[in-house]
Amino acid sequence: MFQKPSDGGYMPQPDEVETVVGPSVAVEGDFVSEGNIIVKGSVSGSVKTSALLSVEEGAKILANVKAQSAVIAGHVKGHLKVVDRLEILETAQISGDISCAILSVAPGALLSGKIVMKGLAMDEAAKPKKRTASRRKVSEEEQVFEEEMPMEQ
Amino acid sequence: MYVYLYDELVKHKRYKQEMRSIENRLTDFGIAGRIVRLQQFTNSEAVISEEMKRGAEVAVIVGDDKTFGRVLSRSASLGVVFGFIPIGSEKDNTIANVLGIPIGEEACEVLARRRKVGLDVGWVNNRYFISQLHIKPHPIRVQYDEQFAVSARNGKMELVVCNLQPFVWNDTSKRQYVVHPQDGKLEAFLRPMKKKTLFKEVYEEPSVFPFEEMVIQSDKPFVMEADGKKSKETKVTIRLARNRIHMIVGKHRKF
Repeated sequence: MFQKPSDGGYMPQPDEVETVVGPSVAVEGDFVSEGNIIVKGSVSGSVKTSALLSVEEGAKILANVKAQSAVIAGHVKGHLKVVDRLEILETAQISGDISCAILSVAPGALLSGKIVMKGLAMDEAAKPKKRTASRRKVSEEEQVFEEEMPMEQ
Repeated sequence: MYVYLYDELVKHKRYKQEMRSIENRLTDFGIAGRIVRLQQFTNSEAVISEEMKRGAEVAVIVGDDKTFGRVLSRSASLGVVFGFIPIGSEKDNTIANVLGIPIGEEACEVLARRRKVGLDVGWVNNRYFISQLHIKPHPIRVQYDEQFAVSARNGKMELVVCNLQPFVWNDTSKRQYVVHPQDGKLEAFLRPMKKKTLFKEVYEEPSVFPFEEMVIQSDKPFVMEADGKKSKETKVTIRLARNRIHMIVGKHRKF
């Protein structure tokens, strides 16, 4: 969308409408966009985009965030739900739970909250249904063992 | 049948030769028609509807960005197909570039090909705007799509809403950027004013918000300029009117 006039030809980008929140602009409310969002100022309420969210250094978000992918270099206070890739840069400060598929954290970034990532193999092993089944098995064996014990005596 | 709406500027002797060759070319293509010369206070809506009664199907605007905005802001709802022959410099014809129409004689070829598309226009306080809407720095509050509100920390903001005319600004490192409007949404550019010196106004980096409906409010009246027409308002509602204009455009259009 942004291009220098010297570049000449136009690059068609039908759906990549960019939303830019400038450095001294404050946005309040449900901020929903279908295109990429670049935040340089402050946003409070909620942020939702089906594309890339970029929170630049010095920017503040006091909101729950949902995005396809995100690059965070500023402050975020709220839950972050990213479908695809979340990149946390060294200047970032995040206070809230994070949910994403791919996570990259640069050294120096400050995080406070729970991180949940889908696709963990340990999750399936620790399912409650299986745990109850194994307990039943043990209890049956114990019962058999108890029944056999008096016969030996 | 075609009707040609000539702006006053084509009367200038600078364009005499160019106009002659355009008229010859239109005759060659067999699309020459009645010529109506617009004056400063001509009601273009009345002129076009009168011509439509006589059988006009295509109204061709001959002039620059200002002519384009002036004619279409009043006649967008008439249901006639519009064409455009841009006259003058590239600087005065930014809309033609978006529509993919070359300046001068070559525009006749685009007109003859009749590649017709539906264009979205802006609707502001009971009238259309085609190119750009501008509000000078003023303490305004802006609400987008009834979902979120935008305000500046410093107070005063400049607002530009682009429909077909590209928006140009220079950033702090004096680089020039051009934001090309896209069809399907209106784009609002907000620039909070940092400070005002004797010679110039210093602005912050602009914010860009694509939208379909926007409400601008202020306690004090502000000056709004839409397609070159100024008015004083305290509350303005801007909406997107989809496919309102049927327009003949070029192959190299930018949407």
